[in-house]
Parts: sequence; structure tokens; C-alpha cells
Amino acid sequence: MKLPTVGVETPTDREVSVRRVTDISVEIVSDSGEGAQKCGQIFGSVSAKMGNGVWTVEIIPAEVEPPPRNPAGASGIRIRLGDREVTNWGDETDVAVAFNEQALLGRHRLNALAPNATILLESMWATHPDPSVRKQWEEAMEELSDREYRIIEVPMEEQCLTVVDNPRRGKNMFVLGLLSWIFDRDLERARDQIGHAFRGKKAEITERNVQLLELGYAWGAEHLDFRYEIGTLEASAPMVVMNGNEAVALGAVAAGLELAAMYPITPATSVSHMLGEVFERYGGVVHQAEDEIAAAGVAIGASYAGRCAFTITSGPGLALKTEFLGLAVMAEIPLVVVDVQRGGPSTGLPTKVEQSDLLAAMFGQPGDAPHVVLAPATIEECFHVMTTARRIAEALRTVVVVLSDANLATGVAPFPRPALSPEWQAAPPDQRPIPEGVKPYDWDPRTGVSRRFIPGQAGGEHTLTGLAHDERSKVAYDSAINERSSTMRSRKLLAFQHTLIAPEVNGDAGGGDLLVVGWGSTRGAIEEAVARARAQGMSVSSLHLTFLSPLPPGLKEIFGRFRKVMTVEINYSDKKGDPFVTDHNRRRGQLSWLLRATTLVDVDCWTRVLGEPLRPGRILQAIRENMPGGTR
Amino acid sequence: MPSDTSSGNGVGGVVAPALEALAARLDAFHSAVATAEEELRSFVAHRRGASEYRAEQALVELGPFAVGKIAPDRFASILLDLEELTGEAEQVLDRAEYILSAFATERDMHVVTVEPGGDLRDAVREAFTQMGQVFGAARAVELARAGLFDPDQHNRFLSALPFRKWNRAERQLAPPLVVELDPDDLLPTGLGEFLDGQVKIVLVVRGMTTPAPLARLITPGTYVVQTADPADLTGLAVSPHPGIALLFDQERSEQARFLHDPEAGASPWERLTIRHLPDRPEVGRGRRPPRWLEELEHLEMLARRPSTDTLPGTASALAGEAGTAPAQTAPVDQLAAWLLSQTNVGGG
Repeated sequence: MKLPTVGVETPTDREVSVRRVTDISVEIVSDSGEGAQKCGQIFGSVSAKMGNGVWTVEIIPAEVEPPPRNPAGASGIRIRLGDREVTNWGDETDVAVAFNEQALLGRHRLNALAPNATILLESMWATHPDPSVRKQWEEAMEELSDREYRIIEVPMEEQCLTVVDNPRRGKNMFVLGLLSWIFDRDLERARDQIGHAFRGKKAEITERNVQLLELGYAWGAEHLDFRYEIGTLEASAPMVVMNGNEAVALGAVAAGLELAAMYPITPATSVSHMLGEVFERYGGVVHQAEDEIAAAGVAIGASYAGRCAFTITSGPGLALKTEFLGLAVMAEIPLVVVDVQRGGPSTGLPTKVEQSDLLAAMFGQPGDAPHVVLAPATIEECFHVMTTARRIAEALRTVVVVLSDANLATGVAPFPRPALSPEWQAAPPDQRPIPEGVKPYDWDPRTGVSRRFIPGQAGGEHTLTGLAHDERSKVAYDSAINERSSTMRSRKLLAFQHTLIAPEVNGDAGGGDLLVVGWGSTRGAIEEAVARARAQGMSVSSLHLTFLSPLPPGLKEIFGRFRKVMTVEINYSDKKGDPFVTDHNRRRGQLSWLLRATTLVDVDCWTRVLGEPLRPGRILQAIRENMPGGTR
Repeated sequence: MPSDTSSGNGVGGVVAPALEALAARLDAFHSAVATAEEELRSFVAHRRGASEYRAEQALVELGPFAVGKIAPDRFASILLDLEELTGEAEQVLDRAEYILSAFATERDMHVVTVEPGGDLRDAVREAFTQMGQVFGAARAVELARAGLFDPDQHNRFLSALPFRKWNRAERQLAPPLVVELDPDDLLPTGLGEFLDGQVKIVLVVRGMTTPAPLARLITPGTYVVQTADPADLTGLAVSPHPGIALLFDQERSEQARFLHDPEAGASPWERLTIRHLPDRPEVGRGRRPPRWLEELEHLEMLARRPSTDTLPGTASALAGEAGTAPAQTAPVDQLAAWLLSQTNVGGG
């Protein structure tokens, strides 16, 4: 139901154009700390609840608080809205709101804005008392004028000062009001969402934010001459709206995980923030350890004791956990590791997206440490992956690494409310007395799996070791025993691989000119690019991998049906034609390495490490450039 | 059964509004019990003849993420270790299901009456012990599912479970309790041991009590309210802290009305709101003041904000000695004075 707005009628003496769109991207950019992301999150949530497809991506500067009015320090959020499901952040921004012209300039220089974008820009800087600020404004306007932007100056600060003393704390809600008018958002939902966003704060803070929302809405109604109309989906089931890290956290609760051990690291930390709010209510514990290594140790210890434990980290933390993960593999202790990837190496790009850890997650341990690696592709999958990961870890008594990334972690999208099942939760481990003769590593020669022993279990007494050991858990350097135990650990993966289903081809399963292969969060952008390419007549299909270790069966056969196979990834590869690069020495995308090694197919790659999610338009261009025999 | 301790048709007057105010908490408890019972029934049904539908079991255990990615039949045949229930386990589970189903709908157990001259602490302890059956049953289920149920050790879980044996999660889910009693039997200090997790106790008293019987139960993490208005119990019900309320049958000027909400601030004076404080009685020369006067003094002390120009705890600030302006002293001297004031050897 459309609820009354703030009582400001659109003036009848001017024309307001209403543009009907099926898909549109909006950006809000500001200096760090001005709340642009909060504004966008609320706008995205309201839109999702109204039935729009939504995908949000946060624009986060590298520093916690970069200098103000700096193009490199732009902080904000992009919200892509659609009249159907939206699976990625799209290409360029159609409507931007900037709190200062320097933040806008940062986005302009990254080609984030459509050439004809409409921009709402804080006007105060044009008349700022500081002449250097006025000069920056003039220079920025000059630079921006090389595009066909429509820039509308908005007196944001002047307006906000009518409600608050510190407009830095209020512009975001004023802008939320502006956007609510432009996109005809339901104000009552916006008010509710503000209440939710500021829950735990004093009531007057929420009230003031609602006042600012209404002020922005009224200003838009009085002064702006354009609005957008975008259709909505008819939801067949109740929907929930959250980001990928929240989904991982709630998925962990639904999966019956009982302990999350972590050390704060961007962009993974907010998983533990969400768990901190809800986990204890469901009997869980969030343990912030003294470092990444200890976090892995605590989780392994809890799991060894019979609980369902997991640890959360990002690439640099994964590197630190390496030795402990090897211990879990060797001692056959079930463990789920969530790695929310960011750019690397070293501490790399904390706030930017990259699919940087595939090979590290698979091969990071010394020696042979076979374990499972899988990657959710959507925010909904971030929720459900936790149940599957936990179950596999327990079934195989091994480590399961879940590779999320910064794109999923901070992206917000709606998905159907999960129909929870008690069967998703772990059954208590079998603690009946161990029958006589059963050994701690009584490997089933067919599957390599052995019964899990729980400390204190009658008849199960043994010494746990990270050294090579025999079935009785006795340290043994005997070459035959090491060979056998290695074989058994590897066989678990083989047995599990036998349960996997060959992935479906998106497009022509029978084959064609080009097969694009992706993994993780790029699925939405790849499939959108492939759909556009196919609409343009190109013979291109895609395939998305969820299980990366072990890989599903049938890949070589599928690849054989296409003239060319190419991975699309957000990690580094040498560009063909660059100095010294040959077909033999070229360093390739991580999945490309893996697929070439396992299928012996000449899998090409197209990768980028721009610190942002892939744009479907850019993938489309890559498809066009890589079509065997050129574009048809 | 737990209903034996309730007042039966005594639920009325101020008890009914008290229960109404606690409805959300009651619903949460009963809903959790009903869910546990449903899960148990589903588990038993699945495990009876489990070998017949291993693939279905694998499908549901792996969750929606695995659909289309893992073949459940292959997973079941290779990796699913599913055993049928033993007869002994089935017996335990049947008994637990009976208990859970009885508790899922039982509402009378949340009200107990202390017989005149009875012991409030004993009544509360007994009520919680009876209600603890539900947690005992849940524990028995987990033990039976893990193959660990030993009748000699664990049969007690299927009868009653005293509050002191409840674990942290059980104390978080604790069912609320309304206790009817006479003013003479209101000795609430013994209830401190139950104020843990999210335990909520409402004492309903008809008649005159001492002014602030609950003052001594105020601790930084405990929600404490004295009121004659059942609507004030809403905060108790939703508070994430353990809490206790004293609900008067009517407002009397001799009874204090106050609220201590742990969420309201870090300092006692921020957390405590006094809505009504009775006048102090005149104590004749040489007469010993009544013991309950300490309740009021305690309440006043907690509510008093130290003046901003002296360190917290300085005697003049707390006693509110008007007219004696604090001397201009160095901070280090102020600190020393404050430290001395915290000891019994301060020379004062």
C-alpha cells in the first residue's frame, strides 16, 4: 500500500518527467564517515522489500579514514535495481549522488559513471569561503565537462542544518529522502528501515533521521524534474534481504555450527559481528582469539572435542592458519574454514574484491593435504553453503574451505526465506563405547573414511598426533605406513568426488565456439554477459564451478565440445602480447591453471585485478575479443 | 506434574495481567519446546527403518546448496553412516517425547502460590525443578542420539532437573514464573541464586510490604522493578538480562516504585529510575531504626549521581552535604582522598 508522503505535492507549474526503466544503477559517494553506505543499504533494503531485484556493492577506500575531499578516498555504495532478479553490480552508474565534487571525480576517473549520468551534487563547495576549495570545484567541473553528465546542485548541508547541528551526521538520510522521491519508494518502509538500522540507538536519533528523510523527500518533490519508475517482481515466497557475510553467519546458525573462532580481518570480520548478535541465543559461541593461528587452533580443538566448529578469515589470515589446517587434515578433524577473499599478496587490498586465494586454499599446506574447497556464487548460496560444508567436513573428517569474497561479503540481495530444517543441524557424534578392536584411524579401504573418535569415549583412548601415524594413531615413519595413510587421506577426496554431479552448461550443452568458465561470485556477471553475447548471435556458453577441490566429473568431456575454453576470474594473469610473455611462460588465472592441469585442455583465461567486481559489459567485450575466428 | 504447584483457578486479579505481560517470553519457551518435540518426532520417524531411505536422508542433511551438485544416492551409499535406533534408545526418546508434548501446551506451571507461612525460595526452587524436566528430557534425547544414554546415570533426566543443574543455554531459555504470596512471606533476597540467564520472576503480593524489598537484589546485570502497573512488566519480559519484579495489588505511598534496567547505562544512577520513594519514618531518639530503612537507603545511594567536580565516591558528593564547597585541591590529592574514602583506615 502506498503510504502518504510528507505532504509536499509536486508543483504543478513545472514538468516532471517519469522515465520507465527495467534496470538502473545508483551510486552514493562521500568522504569516509558520512554514511553513504548506510544510506545505500537502507535504500537497497527498501527497494528489495518493495519487490525490486537488488544488488549492492560497497565502495570502500583503502584507509579507515582517508583525507577528506580526495578522489582516491571516495567511500560509498552502488545499488543496482531491476524489475527482475539482479545478480551483479552491472556496468556503469546512471544516477549518482555525491557529497562533494572530489568523491565524484574519483568515480569519474574510474569510468564508473555512464556518459549521460544524472548527478546530484552538494552545492556548498562552489561557494566555500576557502579559495582553494572553490578552485578545486572549478577544476573538477572542468574535468567533468568532458562527458554528457547532467549535474544538479543540491544544497544538502544548508537543508540538513535546519534539522541537525552537524550535517555530516545527517546528509545521508537527506539523500535517502531524495532518492526515495526520485524512485518513488514507500516512505513507511523507509521509516521502518531507518528504525531497524539505528536499533540500539536513542529514539531521538531515529526520529531525527526520519525528519531528514522527509526533508530530502520534500526537497526532491519541490525541486527535481525527473523521476524513475521501475517494475517489481511478484514474489512467490517470503523474501529476506542480507549481505553475504550476514548470510554466512546465519547459515552457520542454521547448520548447527556451535563455535566460530576468528581474529578480525577485513572483509571477513562482519561475519563475527552478525554472529555476535545472534549466536549465543542458539547455543553458539563466538571466540575472538589472540591471532589467526590461535583462532584455527581453537576451532580445531573444539571440533576434536566433538563440537561443530568453524573459523573465519581472509587471505592473509589463511596464510597464517596454514600449519594448523595441515594438522586438521593429518589428524582428520572436521573443520570448516570460511575465507572471505580480498586482494593480495601480503596484506594487499583489504577493502577490495579479488578471487585471490583459490590456489592458496587448495595447496597452501606443506606435503599432501587433501581437503575440500568450494565457492558459493550468490548471497543465497552463502547461507546454504554452511550446511553442506559442515556435513562434508564431518562425513570426510577433513577440512572444508569455503571461498567467499568481498563482492559477496558486502553485497546485499534479496532471496527466498530459507525453509529451515532440523536435519541441517549436526547429529550429536556417536559416543557409544568403541567396540573392541576398532582403531582411531580404521580407514575403510574403499573410501578412506574412518570412525570419528571423541575424547573421553570409552575404549577410544589414543594419542593424537600431527605426525605421520598408523591406524592406531602411533607415530610411524615407516615408509609403507606413510604411503598408506597418504593414500587413505586422498581416497576420501576421490570417494567424495564420485558423489559430485557434472555441472550444467548455461547455453548450449552440445557445444559451440566459446565456453566461459567461472567460479564464485562472478557467476551473475558472467551469465549476464553470455546472455548479451548470445543475443548478439555469438556461439558462447558458460559453466560455473562450485566444487574446486575435488573438481566435479565430466569437465574434460564438456570442454571438448567447444572450440575454445576460457576462464573469467578476478585474479592476476599475464596479458598476451606483454613483454616476454609467451604461451609457455604466461602466468594464468588461478582456475585456468587448475583446469589445464586436471583436464590437459588448453584453457585460456581473461582476468582483471582492478579491485572491483567484474562488469558484464567488460566481460562481453572480452568474449567478443576471444571468440575463436572473431565475432560472428 | 508442574501444574500441581499452580494456583489453579487463582489465576486472576493481578496474576493474569502479569502473565499477559510475560506472554512473549512464555510463547518463546513453549514454541521452543514444541519445536524440540517436533524435531524429536521427526528424528525418530527417520531413524526407524533408516536404511530404507538413505538417499532422502542424505539429501536433507546436505541442504539446498548441494541440490544438483551432489548425488544424494551416491553420497548415501559411500559416505552416510546411518544407524537404526536401538530399542533402549527408542524407549528413552518415547518418554522424552511424552514429556515435551506435555510441556508444549502446559501453561499453569508458570504460576505458583506460596502457602501462608511458606518459604518463597523453596517454592521457586521446586517450580524450576519441575520445569527443568523439559531440559532434562532434551538432554536425554541428545544422550540417546549419541548412544550415550545410561539408564543408571541418566534416568533422572526424565523426572526433574534442579535449577542449579541447568546449563547456560537452558538458563537463557528459562520459562518465566509468577509467584503469588502474602506480604509476610516476601523474603526475596534468597532468590538471587535464580537470577541468571534470562530467568524472569514476578512476585505478586496482596497487601502492604516493606518499602523496597527488591532493592537488595539490584546488581549491574539484573533487571529489577517494583510497580503496581502490570504494563511495567513489559520491559522485564524483553530484557536480555535476568530479572525480577514485585507487582503490588495497588499503589500505596509507603511502597517504593522503581525500575533498574541494566541496558539504561553504565552507572547505577543511569540504570535506576525511582518513580516513587516513601517518606522516611521518624525515628525517636534512642530508638533503633527499622531494618527495612536500609532498603530505602540502598536505593537512594544507587540513584545518587556524584557531583561532577569531585571524584566519584567522595563522601561529600555522596552524602550531598550542601553548602560545603569543595576545596581547590590538586587532582592527585583528590585521588588520594577518594582512595582513602574507599578504605576503613582513612583516618576519618
